[in-house]
Amino acid sequence: MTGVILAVARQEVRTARTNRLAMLLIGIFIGMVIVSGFIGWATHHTISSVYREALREGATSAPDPLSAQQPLDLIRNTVIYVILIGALSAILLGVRSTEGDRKAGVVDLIFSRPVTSRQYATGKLLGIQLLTGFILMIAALVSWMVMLLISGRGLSLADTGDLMLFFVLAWLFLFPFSALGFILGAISRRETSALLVPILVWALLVFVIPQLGTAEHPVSLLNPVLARPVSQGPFFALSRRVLQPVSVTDRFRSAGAGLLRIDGADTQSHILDWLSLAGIAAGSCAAAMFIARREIMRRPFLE
Amino acid sequence: MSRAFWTIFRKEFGDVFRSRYFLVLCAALIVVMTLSLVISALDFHTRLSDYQRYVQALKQAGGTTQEAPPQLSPLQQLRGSFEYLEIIGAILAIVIGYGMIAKEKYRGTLRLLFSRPIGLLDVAAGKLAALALVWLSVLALLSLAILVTLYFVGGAVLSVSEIAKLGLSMGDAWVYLMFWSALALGLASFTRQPSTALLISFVIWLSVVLIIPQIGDTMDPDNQVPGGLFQTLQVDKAHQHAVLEHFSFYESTRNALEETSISKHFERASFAFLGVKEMYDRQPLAYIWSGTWKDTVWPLAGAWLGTAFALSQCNKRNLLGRKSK
Repeated sequence: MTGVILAVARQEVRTARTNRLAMLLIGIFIGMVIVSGFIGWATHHTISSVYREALREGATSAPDPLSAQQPLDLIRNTVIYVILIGALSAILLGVRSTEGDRKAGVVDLIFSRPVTSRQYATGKLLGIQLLTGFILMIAALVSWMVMLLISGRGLSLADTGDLMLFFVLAWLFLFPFSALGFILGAISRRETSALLVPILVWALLVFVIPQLGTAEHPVSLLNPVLARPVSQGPFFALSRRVLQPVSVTDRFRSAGAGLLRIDGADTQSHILDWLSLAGIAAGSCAAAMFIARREIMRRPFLE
Repeated sequence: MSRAFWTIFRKEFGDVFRSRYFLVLCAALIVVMTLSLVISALDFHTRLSDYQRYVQALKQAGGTTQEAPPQLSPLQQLRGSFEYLEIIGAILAIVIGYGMIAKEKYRGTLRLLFSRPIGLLDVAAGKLAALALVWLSVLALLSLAILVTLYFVGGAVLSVSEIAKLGLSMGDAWVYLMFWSALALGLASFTRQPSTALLISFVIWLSVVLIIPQIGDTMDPDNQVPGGLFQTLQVDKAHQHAVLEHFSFYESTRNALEETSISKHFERASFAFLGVKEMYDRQPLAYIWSGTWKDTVWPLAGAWLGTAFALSQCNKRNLLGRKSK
């Protein structure tokens, strides 16, 4: 049984590597992780200079707003790039995984062998998660090196640990997106809906649900620091209570900001965020294994 | 215009409104835009109640406040809705533009179409004209939904000047959405596999709509300190400008980066007309136009380029020469 799963997983990793668009998105993601450090550094440098200038002109007597800033805060934008590019890449990997086999007609061939649909789905999902895990490991390494380049000295052991934990968190966050892509690639009759539906669900999770709980404007949600305090009206309090458990982006943003110790973020333990993300990741993979059954996968594409 | 053009135009226009994707996406867009408006109104009421409670508490303690109550014009409440138009509207535009070519490729109807005596640009022009009318209809419907929601949720009846500003913002939206549809139509004609065009369009969308504006936003020092840098430092407006003059290179670089995004231009122009940007709130149209005409001209140029690209790609040689796999 393990042999079959590993063979499917190995094949999945090999096939994904030839998916040029997925590789392009992954390339953009790694590129943006590098850029993130430099943007953080340039912004940090400018804020400090603005503060010094304001102090020199006698326009302020307030303390330096960055005096308590932590080193990992410099890569704060990575949180957003994981939500934007990472999630879309995961969707694409998931869609192409099942859709590719269905279009190539290899599903019939695979299921003519003694392979159950559960083994097949487990192998495929394992392959995708190994690949995303590997990409995030590279991203973590790149971030560490960017920090070294910017600050001239490496991160402390504690900061390195938090950086690694952040990318583990990102890995968990990407699970449901790749599983969603996997499911849609398996059940859709049309290529357009296989791609479009997960992207719309992603837009709903990234923009609409967080807005319902915070009243923040959609574009402002792309900034790691919220522009204003969260609205406290009864509607928003209720929305937060109902939607937060399923709002993966809110959970990831909150726990990620805590790990990177982003200015203004809640640095309390985010154990509930972790548990929630792990639960959603496990649930989505279980759903993918349950839905991607032999008879569904064998249905032909209409386009 | 030839008869073939009108036939294609009529067929495409009808097809779009019969498409399930279009209807679902269009409904989703209208729902999120009106929902955003409702959220904005609820948020405003929450802030107003907070303010009233604060004033009441101060009064009971024998004090008075210098702080003015929260002010919001009806058009300012449309900020979130227009941001959805910028993000989700662009996805809808891509899907419609791509769908116009993809359906022909998947059904294999292109050879039949080009076996008839039609002009070089009839197919492309017919499809683009249909797109233009589709967007005009969708935006008219959206405007109506906005006016009704503003009336029932915010209790606001817009003045003639406000309706004109909303109309101009919608005009900007029309240009912006035409850019995305034309680009997707051109790409779907250009690529062998239509789904590749859809993916390339989404990669461009991701970069132009989300990544570039996001970088610009996070490079803004004022956005990187909770509550705003200058507010935290308690620096007044006059000093803000004086201080920022020393960082003109950084600010110009940030601005130049933002200006490469057509979405940012659309956002700036529509936010100016809606009064979201404070300096344009309740100002005459001539004043707003003089400050923001570039933000309308750039998307116009983008839409023209997108249309030219679509016209150059959506022809017999390309569509029949590059067979879909």
